[in-house]
Amino acid sequence: MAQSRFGASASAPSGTVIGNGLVIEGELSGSEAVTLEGELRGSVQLTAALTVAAGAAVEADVTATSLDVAGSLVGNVAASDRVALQETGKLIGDVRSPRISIAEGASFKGHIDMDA
Amino acid sequence: MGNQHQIGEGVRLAGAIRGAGDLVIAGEVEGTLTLDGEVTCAATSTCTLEAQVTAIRIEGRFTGSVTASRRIDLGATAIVAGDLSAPTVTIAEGAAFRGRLEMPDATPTEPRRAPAATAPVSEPEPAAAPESAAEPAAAEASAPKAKTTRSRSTTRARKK
Repeated sequence: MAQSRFGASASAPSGTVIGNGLVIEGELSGSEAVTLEGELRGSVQLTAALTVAAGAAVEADVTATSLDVAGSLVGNVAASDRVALQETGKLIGDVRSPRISIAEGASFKGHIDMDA
Repeated sequence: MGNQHQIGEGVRLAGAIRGAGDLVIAGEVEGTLTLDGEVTCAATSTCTLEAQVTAIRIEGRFTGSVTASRRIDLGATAIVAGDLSAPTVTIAEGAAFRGRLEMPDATPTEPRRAPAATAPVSEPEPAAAPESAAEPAAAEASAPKAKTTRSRSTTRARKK
């Protein structure tokens, strides 16, 4: 019974989701889009998009192509494409990206550099 | 519980992972893993882990140790080096494993019955003896071929 459940979950896993209930202390890197719903402390280095979902708590320096923040992110951010801070989002740190948007209701503290 | 976590094929994670839920690893993970839930290390995964989980299924490359409270399954494509401990462990044909394997419940508390069952097998042999003894007697009754038949029965006796 357990095996069939394993078999179902093992079928072609795609994407990376650190769900609610998981705590990671360390380094996350790669070339695939990542969604963080749980907790992460350390660093994230991606050549893809990162989503910090609502409810997530991230303390990390982040490098990614694009970054969506709907949860809490403490750390410095460098995004080669864009950074979007959603209305539920909270970002404390310095942000460096050519395009940055901050929705009404979001909270932010730090330095912004759009290479202007 | 019941949350699904996934570390995709193009992602590498180094550090300490802990929490609850089911985790599928298709990428590269190094460090420690303490999870109240089931882990699947897909065929594409490379793991170097000290893992303490409820259950784990390994189909990729794995180095380190695993203690599972319920079960460990090594799939046919698994290449594993390390120490495994769980009450239930299965290894599929084709899996490669090197290391220590422990099933904590495997404590011989009562003598095994298998050897005792083989003992009575010797009993039917005496019963067969009269039958073979009767055979030469019957052969002697047919006069011309008596000699050859007897020699054949003696070789048969020697074999026994």
